Amino acid sequence: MNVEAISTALIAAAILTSMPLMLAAVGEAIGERAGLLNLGIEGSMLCAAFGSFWIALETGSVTVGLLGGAVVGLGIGLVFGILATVFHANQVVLGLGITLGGTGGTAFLFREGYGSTQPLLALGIGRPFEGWLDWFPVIGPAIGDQRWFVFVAWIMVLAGHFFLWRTRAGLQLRAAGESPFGLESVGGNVTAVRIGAAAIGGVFYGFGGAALSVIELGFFSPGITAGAGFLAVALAMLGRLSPLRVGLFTLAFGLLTGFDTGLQIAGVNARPELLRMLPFAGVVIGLAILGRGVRLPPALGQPYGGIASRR
Amino acid sequence: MVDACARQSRLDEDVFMKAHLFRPGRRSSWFHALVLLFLAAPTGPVLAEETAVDRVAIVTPASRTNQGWDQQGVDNLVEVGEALDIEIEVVEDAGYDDITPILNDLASDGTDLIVCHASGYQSVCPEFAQAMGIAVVVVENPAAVTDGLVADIETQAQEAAYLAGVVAGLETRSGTVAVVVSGEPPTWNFMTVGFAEGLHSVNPDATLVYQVIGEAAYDDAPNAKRVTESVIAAGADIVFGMGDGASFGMIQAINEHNLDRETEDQVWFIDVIGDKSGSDAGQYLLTSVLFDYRGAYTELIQQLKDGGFGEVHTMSLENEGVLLLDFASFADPGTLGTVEEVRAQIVNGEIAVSAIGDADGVRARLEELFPR
Amino acid sequence: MSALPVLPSERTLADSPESDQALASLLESLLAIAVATAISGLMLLVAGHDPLNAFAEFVDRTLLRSAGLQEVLVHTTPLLLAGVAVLIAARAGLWNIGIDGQVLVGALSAAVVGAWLVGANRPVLWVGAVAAALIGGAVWATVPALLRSRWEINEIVTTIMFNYVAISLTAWLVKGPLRDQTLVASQTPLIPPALRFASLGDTRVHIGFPIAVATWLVAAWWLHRSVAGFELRAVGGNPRAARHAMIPVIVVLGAALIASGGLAGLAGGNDVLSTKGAFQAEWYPGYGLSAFALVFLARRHVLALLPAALFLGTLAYGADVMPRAAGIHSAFFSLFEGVLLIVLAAFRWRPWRRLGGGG
Repeated sequence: MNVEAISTALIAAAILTSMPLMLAAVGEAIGERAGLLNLGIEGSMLCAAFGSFWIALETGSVTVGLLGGAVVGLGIGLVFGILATVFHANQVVLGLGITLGGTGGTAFLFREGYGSTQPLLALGIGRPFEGWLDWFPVIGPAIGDQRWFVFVAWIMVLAGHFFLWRTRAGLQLRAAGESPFGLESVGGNVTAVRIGAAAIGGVFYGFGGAALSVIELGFFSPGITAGAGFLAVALAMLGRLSPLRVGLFTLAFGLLTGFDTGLQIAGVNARPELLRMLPFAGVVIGLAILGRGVRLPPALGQPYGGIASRR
Repeated sequence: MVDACARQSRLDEDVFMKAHLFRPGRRSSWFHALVLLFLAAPTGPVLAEETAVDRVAIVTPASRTNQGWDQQGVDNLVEVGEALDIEIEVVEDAGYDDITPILNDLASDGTDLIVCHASGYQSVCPEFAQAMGIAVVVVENPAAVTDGLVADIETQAQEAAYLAGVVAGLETRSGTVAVVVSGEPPTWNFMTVGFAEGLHSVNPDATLVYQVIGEAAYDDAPNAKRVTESVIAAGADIVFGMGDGASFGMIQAINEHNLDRETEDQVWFIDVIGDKSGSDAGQYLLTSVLFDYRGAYTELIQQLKDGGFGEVHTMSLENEGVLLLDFASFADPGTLGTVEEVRAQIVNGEIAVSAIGDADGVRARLEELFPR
Repeated sequence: MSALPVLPSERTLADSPESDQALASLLESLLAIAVATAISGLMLLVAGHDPLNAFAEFVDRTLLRSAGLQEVLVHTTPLLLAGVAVLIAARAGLWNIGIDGQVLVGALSAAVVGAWLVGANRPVLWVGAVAAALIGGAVWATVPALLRSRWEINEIVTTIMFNYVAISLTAWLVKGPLRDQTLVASQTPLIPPALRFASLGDTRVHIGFPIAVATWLVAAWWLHRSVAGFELRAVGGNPRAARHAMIPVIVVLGAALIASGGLAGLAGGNDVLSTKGAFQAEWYPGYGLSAFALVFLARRHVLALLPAALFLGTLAYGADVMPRAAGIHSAFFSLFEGVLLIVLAAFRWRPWRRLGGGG
């Protein structure tokens, strides 16, 4: 058994499978930076996944499908943002509602639309840098042979990081979460900024859901996210809402997930159920070690009442 | 017959193979059903004992969409119902919560027989039968069998899986074969062992990679795809996949791998339970371990009518309850002959296939056959 | 007016409507249900179903038949318990998203202890198994409780992670050391029907229902009439003020989450002791999200939990029968609950209350 080939495959799989999760987690992180706690990512990702799958099937184009998924995510993000700010909706309830509704809705629509068939997308998603990094052992081909969208995703994460920390708009966004009254007092519009943050987040996890169905798997099935939306919230917090850190933690999570496969291939006779607990236990341990005293934006989850509400 | 074939195009070969139905004795079980019908019809009104069976229901935990366990049971029962002129009611996606309300609902609509199509229903259905006096059929629970109330279907799929193992052993080019499962329920476990024994019988030096995706990961396609990609990287060129919905993940991994690859480098798939050959998913389907419930269903409906209901019905190679699907056109023609011989040997008892249903037993047996 | 400025942003999930606005809350809930029904009906129409017929079928099968009503009560039982669990945590300002994991661990504990006590008489078995369920669920919430109370690590994330760990752990246990070796499929040894929760009369309703109602009443009393309950609500309402009042916030937070876990475990134990009889690895009832829907439908008021639970129990049974009755897939009911939650969340903006001068 070729240990090098297997290791490359495991790492490559970790990079690919963590990609949708990473996009979702970064989207959540951006929203949380502005003070929005969104537990509806699971439902939103499913909607984006279903939407992009359906569009890709109809149009025959993966790219159009991806964009469609991003639009779905954007739409849901806007709904969340507007309801959470203008309507002072309780964010956790809203998020859980979106998750329940999205999960049930996509399952319902899928059954209605496709009955008892399981359509599959024809694959053939390009790998632009295939072979370029073969000179670097194990990790080289794992990175180099990835599909083009994986690179796009990482660029998006870097862009998100740059946006948050190096642009004025990003500063406003962070202020909306750190100190909304402060932002307002210098002339910023907290509501508008938060809705904008929700929209950006929506684009991120919209792409995440779309990529899961169209890039990673090539089909959609009810419940295909398997809890990725909730994991995204966890990873966003673990990464302290910083896109780059979140991306790296997500990658580590993906590697841990593939760990049990690797062990099984190597013939280690450990029960797969116990190994499957590893990534989740890892997150908890990570939080316990790194999460103590972490300052989440003080205004996280709280609706903003405007300066006038300060009595 | 095969020589004439070889001169034709691949497409024709495919059609030819299918037309000649390499399904040993397929027609005969069908024939059996019709014969039974013929015999039953005139004697029906004469027997004072006969119970009318007008409505039969089937309850499945997941949806037909998975084209696996749930679909096969439903499709087979529907066919039998059409042949015997019985109304069939399908309740899918019942899950593993308490299904008693569903069973009660069916009972109140005058259902005569309920097929509880999941090993997870092994306790709740016999209890319901005892309480309500309505006949039920369970799977993999021979201890629950009760005269007139509870019948059991045993899928001795390890025999057909043995044949699949023989096919894999003969068709593998790389010498590494993978078994990927979405859980370790008895149905999958029986097949894993049978497959391993079949593989071992023709190719004892092969490497067998056994991968469990998760605990009840029947719909976990993403992880199924990831795991399949890993076993392909480990060198497997034939994947025996048991997954229900998760199988699509495995198939997509294989479809992707095979893009722009020559036949020698391709990875092939052996499926279980259903027949995906006609769909997108069937492109690289080498064969499948088919479950054909029609014979069992026909038999027990007849017993319900005439008396004698409440037995263990074993689906085996002999009664064509389990069988191998036609081979794909890219399979080696010589394999057909070998498989036919092995099949005969199993049926007449020369070869005995182990029946191991628990997960620990599976691992022990795999370790014996293919020590690491 | 209080001396401290109470910013609207500080009123979180722990606040409850004042009693004179109870009627307004009830009307809001009904209005939310109506709006959600309308939206969902529209979706049915778009999908090609007849919403009016579906609605009629639904009402007929769940409420107009004796069998339906019984099943509604059976379905309500675990939901009520889970709802109380969520509410206890919520009034302390905590989000217990880990209900599902706690349900699993509680159920497995009850199944194991119940099977072990099969030789004893029924009441002993019940007490033992129920205690096991409570302890199991509580234990499962302990780590998140500690992390939250002591180190302020967000409980949303930890409880979610523990859900996943619970799935794997219980699956491993029930396929391995705790498996019934006489059966082919994995489950714990069966508790015979005769030893499970007794049926009330000739119906399908079992004593789990009165147990759940009693638990709910005790919780309501405790929350509003006991010192500990007051402290819990104080911590949830304003943690800083509570600390100033010398309330041990850390202890209260930890205890609240652990108690919440225990009640969720009890919901799981209820299922094992009544309808299931054993624990199976594939079982995942998913009460967590429904419990949140329940609590917010009840506008976080404990006395409204029972009617809210009854409503959601009706939906749950509806999801069982509507696929057969009207060809509507059970996923539709999750969709409905989700829409309901969104509408309820949006109702936070209560222009009619502002006009009335309250809030």
